[in-house]
Amino acid sequence: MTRDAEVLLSVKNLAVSFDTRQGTVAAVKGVDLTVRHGEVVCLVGESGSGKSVTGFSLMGLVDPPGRVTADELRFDGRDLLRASEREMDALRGKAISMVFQEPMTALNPGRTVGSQIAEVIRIHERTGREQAWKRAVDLLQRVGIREPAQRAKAYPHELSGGMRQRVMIAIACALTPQLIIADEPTTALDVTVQAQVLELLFSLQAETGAAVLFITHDLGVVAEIADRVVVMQGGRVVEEGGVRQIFEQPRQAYTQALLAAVPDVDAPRDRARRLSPPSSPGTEGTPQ
Amino acid sequence: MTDFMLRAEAVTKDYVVGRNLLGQPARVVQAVRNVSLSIAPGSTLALVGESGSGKSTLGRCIAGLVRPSSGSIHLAGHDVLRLSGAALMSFRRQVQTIFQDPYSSLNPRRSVGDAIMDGMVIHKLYGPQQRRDRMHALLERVGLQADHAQRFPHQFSGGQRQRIAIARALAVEPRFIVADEAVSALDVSVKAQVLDLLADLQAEHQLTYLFISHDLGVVRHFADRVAIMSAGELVEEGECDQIFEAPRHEYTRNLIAAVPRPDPGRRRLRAAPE
Amino acid sequence: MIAFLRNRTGGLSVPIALGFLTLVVLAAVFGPALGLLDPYQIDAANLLSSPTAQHWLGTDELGRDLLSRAVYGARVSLTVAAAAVLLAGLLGVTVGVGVAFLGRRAEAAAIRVVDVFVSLPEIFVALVVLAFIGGNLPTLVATIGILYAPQFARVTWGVARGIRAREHVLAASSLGAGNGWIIWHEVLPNMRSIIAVQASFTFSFAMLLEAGLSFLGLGVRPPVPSWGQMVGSLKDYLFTNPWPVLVPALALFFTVLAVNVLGDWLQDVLNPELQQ
Repeated sequence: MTRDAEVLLSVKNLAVSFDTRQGTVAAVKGVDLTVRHGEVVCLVGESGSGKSVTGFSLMGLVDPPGRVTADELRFDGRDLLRASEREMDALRGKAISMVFQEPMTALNPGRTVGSQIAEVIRIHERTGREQAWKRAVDLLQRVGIREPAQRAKAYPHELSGGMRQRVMIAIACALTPQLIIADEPTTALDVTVQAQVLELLFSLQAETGAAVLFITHDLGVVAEIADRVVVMQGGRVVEEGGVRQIFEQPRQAYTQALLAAVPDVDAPRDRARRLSPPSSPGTEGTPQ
Repeated sequence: MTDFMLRAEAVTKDYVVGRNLLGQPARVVQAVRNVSLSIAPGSTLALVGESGSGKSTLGRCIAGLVRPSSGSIHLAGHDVLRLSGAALMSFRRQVQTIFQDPYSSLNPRRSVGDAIMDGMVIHKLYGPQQRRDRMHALLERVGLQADHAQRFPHQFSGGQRQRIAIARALAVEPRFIVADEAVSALDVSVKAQVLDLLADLQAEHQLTYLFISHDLGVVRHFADRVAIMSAGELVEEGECDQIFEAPRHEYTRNLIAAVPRPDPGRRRLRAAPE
Repeated sequence: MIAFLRNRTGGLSVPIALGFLTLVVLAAVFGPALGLLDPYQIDAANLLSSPTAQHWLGTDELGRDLLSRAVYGARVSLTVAAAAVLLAGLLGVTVGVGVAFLGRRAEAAAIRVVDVFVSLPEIFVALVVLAFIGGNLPTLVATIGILYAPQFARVTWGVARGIRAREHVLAASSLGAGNGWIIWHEVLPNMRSIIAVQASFTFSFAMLLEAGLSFLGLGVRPPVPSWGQMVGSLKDYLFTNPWPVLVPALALFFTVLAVNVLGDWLQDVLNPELQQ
């Protein structure tokens, strides 16, 4: 969490493009990113900014017709660009893990949540089935699910959205990763549930000293959790800096406009206030 | 006693979930329970709640799209539960709804211009040329271009489609608009633009809004009065700043407390940054 | 363009099918103007012959030129199938969409009735009907058309229900649109692809049913040629000369195959658009 901490993830000139019938689409166009040990970095952007694709490419989850190139992609000293699929498999879930936006699609609907947590453990460690199950139940308790032994036998559709997200976090944290990549994990949740899930995620983060790359479009969440902020637009990094600096002294027009567009729930009502710049509206371009 | 635009009393909506073998209702879910509300003309009431609170269902009851199980709703001079014939058509002109999902609320096979003119055609307003002129003017007013009229919805982004939906609603000169999470699916900057547009239009046309939303930051900025719903019930209602500064009900307090503030100096989850 | 026409496995079956069908249709439409031999002309000296210089595809059991009979047969088979599909489509879509807007209880009852008709075996019903009423062309077309209407109705009902639940339909009601408007502007235009695909499949069913009925002597009556009827009369001579029966049989086979290939491709091409 301090500036002196070592660099955990170093990305230089990351580019991701997809070959479609209509031509090649560049989703990420030259992004530099650094995450230090224990640091919380927020990747902020609107739809089409390339923030999610960036997150996926770090985990090596971009499949053809997507193409990932970079000048450098190092994690914990390892060169991920030249890593084999086996090496990436060994990293995923253990050293780097991911929390997705939509637990109903990220979790296997045909298996109990307990078995899915246990599976991650058994993939990476030589643990017996019973041992893994016990650890799964413990993890469920740690993520705040009551009656964990019983809930472990439940299927994803039997749980609420917030509980499913807690299960996702349990899976992501099962093997105490060094880096957690969270892709809009609370966007689909009610605000009170979001608060609880964020509290959980960051108490685990504080405990384990993991670094978090948190991808979101919600500036309120960014302000609450980030150490550093990276603002993306159109596949590029527009601005980055410490969270204080970005919120109090944003340098780029895009960042300023983004901040001005977010109403503060503590600010008294001002009927005359405009959220958007007076320039031409309605020309936000063609759909993706 | 002012003249109210909307007066809803003891509105209840039950849904039957599952029937037993004899076809009798097995379980009844009360989506809306005994809710009473009123809205003054020209003002905005925000209906706030989390998922399952019943706010969308209540909004649809008020807009006459869903029939409540009991209660009464008087809107724009109409008794919403006894609409038929000419009264129904008049109601359908004066009360419009803007829906949440810009991708499903426009007919993919209908050009944008036709979609905007639909209301005028259905209500037999104006002649053909005038309808076209009004349609072009509306497109420009909502921030699009007149020559977009021949295009189809899939050629527009989400924010643009919501603008088209707004233009379509305005075409019949309504007095009351239900915005059912109308900006929730939009990007941050687009949301801001559409909210500004809605605010401008309200002043221009003396519109009354029922603004349904779960986003408290947006609500505080936009609404005159706020009504909070939870599990089908109306928990608290009052003037905007008052609700936010001095919420009386615990649920409201928790809700407001849970909203993340866009200011690192006021963060509560982690230590404040240097 | 060619890339667009490739089938799911990347093959060129679609352009080939398209080409073949175009040929068949052109031959059927312009057949008489092509200066073919008279299909009813009996050439007693050349019964059941294989292709010769005079009769390019050979002759049938009465010495009639097979090429011209095949072409005239195409006219009959294609017309009957097309007319039947048109009838099935109009009837089926009307019933299907209508039922979707009946109101919950009436809808549930009506669709059960449609289901009963769907479950009828076409060929048996057709046999019975045609045996009693007699087989002139209008009756044939009407019978086949009405027999395939229930399937059409079922499919369109399912799709109409789905569209009815969409938000743009709710938006139209909230604008004051009545059921008529909604069906015409909001539902039908969104069903075009489903109807097109269903029509293409129904076309091949109709062709085969007509062929089967004509084969059994209940469809198109001689001497008017239809492919099924030609197979019916030539099959008895299989061991005398296998060639003649192959002409109408293969014509039928390849045409139906081509229609199916196109129908599959149509479904693939139009469906992702629906998924949008």
